[in-house]
Amino acid sequence: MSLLQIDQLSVRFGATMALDSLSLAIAAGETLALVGESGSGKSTAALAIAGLLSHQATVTGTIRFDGQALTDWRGVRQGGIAMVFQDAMSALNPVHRIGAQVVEALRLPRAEQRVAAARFLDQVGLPQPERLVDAYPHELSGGMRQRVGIAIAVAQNPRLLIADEPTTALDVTIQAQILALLRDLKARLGLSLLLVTHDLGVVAETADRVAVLYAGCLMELAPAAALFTSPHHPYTQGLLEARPPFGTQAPMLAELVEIPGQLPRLDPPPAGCRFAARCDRADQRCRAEQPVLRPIADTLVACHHA
Amino acid sequence: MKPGQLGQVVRRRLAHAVPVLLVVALATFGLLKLAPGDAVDVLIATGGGGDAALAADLRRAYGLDQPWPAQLAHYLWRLVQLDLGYSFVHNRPVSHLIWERLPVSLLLMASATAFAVGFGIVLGVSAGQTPGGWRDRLILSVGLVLYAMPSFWVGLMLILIFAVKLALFPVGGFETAASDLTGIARVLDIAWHAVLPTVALALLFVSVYLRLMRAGVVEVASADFVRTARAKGVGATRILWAHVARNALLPVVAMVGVQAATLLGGAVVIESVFSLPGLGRLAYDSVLARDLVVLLGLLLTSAVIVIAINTVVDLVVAALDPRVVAR
Amino acid sequence: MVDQALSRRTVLAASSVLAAGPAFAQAQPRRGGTLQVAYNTEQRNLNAAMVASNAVFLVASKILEPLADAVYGGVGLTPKLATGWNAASDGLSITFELRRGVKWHDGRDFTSADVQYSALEVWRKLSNFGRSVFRSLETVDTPDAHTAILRFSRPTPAQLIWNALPDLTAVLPRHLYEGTDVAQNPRNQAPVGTGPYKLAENRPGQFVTLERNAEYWDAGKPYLDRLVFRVMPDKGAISAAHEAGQLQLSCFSSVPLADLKRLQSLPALSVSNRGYEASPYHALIELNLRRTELADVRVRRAIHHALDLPRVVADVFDGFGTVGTGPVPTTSQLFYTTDTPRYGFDLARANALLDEAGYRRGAGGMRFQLKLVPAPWFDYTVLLGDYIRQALRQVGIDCQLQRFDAPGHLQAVYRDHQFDIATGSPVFRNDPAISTTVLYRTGTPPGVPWSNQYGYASQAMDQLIDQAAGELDPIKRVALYHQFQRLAMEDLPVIPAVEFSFLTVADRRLRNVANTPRWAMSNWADLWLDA
Ligand SMILES: Nc1ncnc2c1ncn2[C@@H]1O[C@H](COP(=O)(O)OP(=O)(O)OP(=O)(O)O)[C@@H](O)[C@H]1O
Ligand code: SF4
Ligand SMILES: [Mg+2]
Repeated sequence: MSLLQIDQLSVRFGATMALDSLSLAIAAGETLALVGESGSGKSTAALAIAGLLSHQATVTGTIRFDGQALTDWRGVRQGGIAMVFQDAMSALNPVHRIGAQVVEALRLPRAEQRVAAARFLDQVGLPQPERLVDAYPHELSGGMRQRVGIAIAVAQNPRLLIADEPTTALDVTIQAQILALLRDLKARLGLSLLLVTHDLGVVAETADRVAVLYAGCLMELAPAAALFTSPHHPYTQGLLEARPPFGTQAPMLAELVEIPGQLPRLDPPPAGCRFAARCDRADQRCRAEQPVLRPIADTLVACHHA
Repeated sequence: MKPGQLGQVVRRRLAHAVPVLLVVALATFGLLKLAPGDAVDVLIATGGGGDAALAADLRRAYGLDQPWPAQLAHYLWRLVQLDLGYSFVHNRPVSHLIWERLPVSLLLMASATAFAVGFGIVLGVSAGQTPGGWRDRLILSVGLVLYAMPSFWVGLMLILIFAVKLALFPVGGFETAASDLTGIARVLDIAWHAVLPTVALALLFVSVYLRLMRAGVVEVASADFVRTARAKGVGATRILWAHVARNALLPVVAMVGVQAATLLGGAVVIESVFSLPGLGRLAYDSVLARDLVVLLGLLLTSAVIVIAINTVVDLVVAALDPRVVAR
Repeated sequence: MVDQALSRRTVLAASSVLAAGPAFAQAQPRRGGTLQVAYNTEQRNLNAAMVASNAVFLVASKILEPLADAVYGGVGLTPKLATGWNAASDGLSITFELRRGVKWHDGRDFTSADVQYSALEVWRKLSNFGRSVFRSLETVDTPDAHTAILRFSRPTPAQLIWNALPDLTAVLPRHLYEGTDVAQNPRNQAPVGTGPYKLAENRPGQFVTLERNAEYWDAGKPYLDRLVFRVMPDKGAISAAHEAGQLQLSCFSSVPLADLKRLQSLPALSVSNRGYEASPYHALIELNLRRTELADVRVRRAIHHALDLPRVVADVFDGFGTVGTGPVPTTSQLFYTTDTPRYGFDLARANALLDEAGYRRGAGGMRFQLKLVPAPWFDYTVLLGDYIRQALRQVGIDCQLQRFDAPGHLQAVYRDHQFDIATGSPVFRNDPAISTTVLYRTGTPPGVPWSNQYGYASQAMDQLIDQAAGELDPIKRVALYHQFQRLAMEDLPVIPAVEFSFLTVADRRLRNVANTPRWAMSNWADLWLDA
């Protein structure tokens, strides 16, 4: 049984359809990568799962975690799901000490707080955790701050860790360290990982399966290896062609997409296939009828012509 | 903030203060010399009249027969020696006059600031929690009304309602006259007298701080670290106060320094309406009496107070915000 | 007088109280109690021998006593520190019998040496008005501890000295002042006197507290234990304090005009304009004769004709005033004469006079423009300015209002003469020679407030004033002042528009309020608070 099971999850911000009928599952211990260009709904999906959507969002569909349906779209997923954010600087409260932020929600007696905080900081590989406990976020480097962000997540003792572009804001060398840390934690703590990213290199290194989002719709869901060797969806194929040679620095996906055109407006979304305006295989049918996911080998693809 | 920084903040402020004080002294001197009439005219008029020889005698005694550059030089020279001079209108050294009135003004300013900041924070948070909601709109409208009301009018209204109609507070005064109270009873008596003037002076600033606080709350509420706090399961109340309000507070505290001069100005009116023997009223009386030395002394004192408040604000901000380091 | 209308109302109100309770039953004065009095304009110098002004007297007259004070009726004087006085017929000396058994508040005996010192060193040299009244005082002989003989170098009218006694003869303790700079003496803030109350505490900006002097020479008095003068610069706050019952007395019109009606309607308070007869004010309209138009007496008379003064009394003064008829007020029974030229409200006459003077109406119906500077001293003097502007428009004189604060006004009007019409408010102090003839005499240098600063110069007037000042025969002296009043109204350099005095707001339980013509400035020894 999957740890997380999403069915027909849709999120609207007013007229904007940010996420359209997303269905997917994450198994215990699995790493699922969520990719797509900017505005495709990755964060929306992540926040919906974490229960962090803002009040403007209208949500339909179901999310089951460990068999339990999550009914409150803006409730904390206590002890189950934790989240790491993209910008580690702004994700930490500038006026509180690191240690206090790590253990803030743990309801520990005052005396135990420092020790506990130091333990979590140690767990994410930060040096001199006893001293860091008293530091403020601005005194730390970007990589250290992201480790603190991860420590905060780990402190909640989660089973699913959502990481929304956890390395985008960091230097390349640091990116690698953070990814290594995430992989390490996953292994040590037996976590499932939902990794939102732009970086197909990261996907290749880290993910078990990949979900490709485009304009709020799931276009392709495939095992990582299969996706790289035989992408089925025209959008995925475009992405992979545009990918720089392996090992070079991976810039943000949005900048490197060489597929001409841009995301369609989502208020409301166009009829037919969302990708039709940019797809060289698009025809009459594509523009009229929205493709549904269908299996091709061990992949799910939403395309009339795949 | 590290211990050594306190001295640094104070020293930096003081270094800025000296030229400011000099400019204040020169500007005041100039302005008052430009204003028509002098202290002797007023002294004679308020004394019920007198003859020309009396005026000449007084003018000579006060040094007002000297050319103004000589008067200015004389004043500045004494100032360098930390001597604020002697008021012939009051027949007392200026420093005594000011010293005697300082506690009243400081008490009024401190209590009004505490009241304004306190209510500004509570109302600002409460409004900013649901921007655009009925509570927000209500509080903002009330704030606007408070901002628009002249404080002498507010003072008189408070007197009419709470002192005359409801008889809950005294009409004015710093303490019960000739009450012979001492110790805690006297402190309570002074506090009881301070309630209405504090509120009257503070209301204007409540609206300033509440709007600042509200804007801060709305802005900070969408900050990433608030989302982090939600993600880790911090309760709504704690998020509101420990995260949102705590950060939105910083510009409010900084504003206290900016408002220090306005607050002193407001105290002039309030001290008159509530018969409080503070610096503001001394200033008002001194303008009407063209009592130049006292006014200069007062303006210098005010400048020092404003600088001192800003120094304290600097220190508080530095204590509240670890990112701020003393430069 | 309007006073009568008011007091009739007061009496009616009082009698309704009478019907309800035994307010009058207790004729025996009650001892004890604290009186809270408003102190609207705080004074820095409480030395009443040096500064003769209302606000100083309000507090200081309870501590420092004059040789004699004013009373209603009789010769108008009642003995205080002097028990008898006698003037030599040559006008060169006056002998005062001094009261025996009087002690200063610090326990020392009061003697003739104190009077000698005060007269020579303070009244003659430092007092704002004493300097002119006692100008020719040469020595003071003290044959014994209870006799003081004032000797003058030139004949001085005894009448003038009698009239000056209440205001200008406060006696200072020689032992505390001699050998010091009187103007700088710290006792000016904490006076030691012989009066019924002694200073307990002077807290600047807050209050002055006086305590009952148990050793007072008038045994049994005073009745009150304590007087608290509360410094209250805001008049609105004073009326609120009255309403809240936190204040029992305010003198010298210390409440806003706008609040009067409301305060009058309160059963616990009485509002009255009695008790100020010895120091009546004139709302004066000063015309700058340096302006060619105003140098013409026809124009000045036209201006007077253009003013509807009864209406001014009713509207501007709320009825608390009397139309002025000359430089001496109607309340001065000794000097006042009705036989003066009058200029009643008559627009046709005003227009005719202006036409006759050669100022025809020009564009927009206006004849010429004047700069009008209302004095900031009272609400009245300010409002009067507004009224003059309206009234003069009707006869084709266009007034431009210019307002100053107190020092600005003093400078603009009395020093720089930068005005065409100003309002003013001089006080009549019992004798025209003290503060009234100076309004008409030439020779006062610029800068002296409440003197002739409008350029009026008449030899006839100067002679008349000097003659009266040296006239020893009281009957002839009065006759000369009648002539003075006629000439003043003939030439009309200033228009004494309205006589007004002040209002006292008092708790109705207070007894013996306003029982002398300078009551607020008297010693209040007989004031008591009914239960
Ligand atoms: N609070 C919101 N109010 C209105 N629209 C929103 C809100 N949050 C997201 N959207 C819209 O929903 C769509 C999806 O946004 P989302 O942030 O999920 O994209 P993303 O894939 O995470 O992009 P990026 O790579 O830039 O982070 C976008 O069109 C965005 O404008
Ligand atoms: S459905 Fe049509 S338009 Fe959409 S991706 Fe497939 S081919 Fe292209
Ligand atoms: Mg995103």
